[in-house]
Amino acid sequence: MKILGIESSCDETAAAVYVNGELLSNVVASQSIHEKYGGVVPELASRAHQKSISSTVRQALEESGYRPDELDAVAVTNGPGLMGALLVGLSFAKGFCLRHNLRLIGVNHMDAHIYANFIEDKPEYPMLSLVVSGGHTQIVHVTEPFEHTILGKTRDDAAGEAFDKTGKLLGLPYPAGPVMDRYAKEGNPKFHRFPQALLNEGLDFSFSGLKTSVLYYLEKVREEEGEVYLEKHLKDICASVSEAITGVLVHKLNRAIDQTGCRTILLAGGVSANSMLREKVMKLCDGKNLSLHIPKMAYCTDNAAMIAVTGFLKAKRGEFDDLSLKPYATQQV
Amino acid sequence: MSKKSFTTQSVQDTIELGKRVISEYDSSTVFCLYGDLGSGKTHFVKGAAAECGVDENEVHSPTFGIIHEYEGQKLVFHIDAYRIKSEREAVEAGIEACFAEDAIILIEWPEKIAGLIPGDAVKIHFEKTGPETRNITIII
Repeated sequence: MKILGIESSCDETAAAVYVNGELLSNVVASQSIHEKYGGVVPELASRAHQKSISSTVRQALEESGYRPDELDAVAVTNGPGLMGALLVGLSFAKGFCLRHNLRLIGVNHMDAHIYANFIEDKPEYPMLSLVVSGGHTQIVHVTEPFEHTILGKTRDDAAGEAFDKTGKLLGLPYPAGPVMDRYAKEGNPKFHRFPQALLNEGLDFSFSGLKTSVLYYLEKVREEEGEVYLEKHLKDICASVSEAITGVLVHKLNRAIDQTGCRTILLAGGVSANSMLREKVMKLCDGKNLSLHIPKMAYCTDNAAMIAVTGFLKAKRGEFDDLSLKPYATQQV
Repeated sequence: MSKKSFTTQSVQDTIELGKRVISEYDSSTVFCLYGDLGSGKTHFVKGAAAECGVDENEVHSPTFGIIHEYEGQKLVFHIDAYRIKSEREAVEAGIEACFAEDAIILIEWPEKIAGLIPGDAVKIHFEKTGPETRNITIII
């Protein structure tokens, strides 16, 4: 089975070719633009996708060495995401299928983050997946292929958003996640104890209260100790904020493990790059002797390789879509 | 122009206020929510959406996704312009298209897309007055 994967659900335009269990190419448009122009934040919205989709697909095909008519199917993200952005990828995929006589496979973006683990690895079912990104925070129980139950999710801000927005309050550049991570490594995570909402309550997350507590902490310290003290302890504060966020993520993951008895743990989404989170999850899984899987970074952030591999797994089950496939903005529960 | 001010003592209070305020408006009204990070905008939306028949636990921050759409007894668009850099970008993201729908539309960071906001939008200002308390002012 030879599959072209296309992703355009939010910020990134991406294409990948996956052939018989092997990833042959994985192109993300905004990354190359990013590198080319030196750190310009990629434009969101549909025009950016329109501008780059055909060149991105062309590059993915060229790198794979396959011609369009040699493929079997196109797997494309049809939700959840930004409607205008999804439509660009979906319409392109439909046209491509018609032109080259290929099958169409609609892929759920959140599912794809989970199956990103299958690009280079073969985790065993049943699995528990912690999906953490700028827009999502979910603990998903995967009992068998495409049988998913969301056990917990964020009720307000996503974990990645919590890093970005508390980082903004600390004066770090947006997106603050990577800088926060770097500073946290050199700081003391026990410097200040920030609140961890819903810690002992179910499996849902809440990170919005953290913004307020960071804000009031900064105000208080500024008043009592002065700006110099804050600057001196910035790394300690970053470590303490990171501790609050990652601590609650791992605490809930642990509870979900106890609840389900799962022996396979997956980490997915862009925030899985966070080193404090990685360390904590590794320690947890080592202690319980569980099998932990974390995809390589390029497959954790939004990419098309994960769409192609998910399409491949669906195709093996005979799950194809016709050209009436529609996009959807919000995750269907 | 009329002005109404409320003080909420907790997150739950802000959610309840969202329910109460929305129940007073038609199904196609645009609400602009002004206020700093952590001032209670998303919690107000949770209440508003719940009043429209949406599970409030499903409502989460649209900062990353820009537009979240919920279908209860009424259609609800929860929009966040925090990451939007220009009005052109907002149009391309499909924000303007939402205004044509018969829906309750709640917009966080509307100041970033001021030129696109319909003139009859209800403006709601959120202000932190303490760790838990918020001052919420509605201007029509």
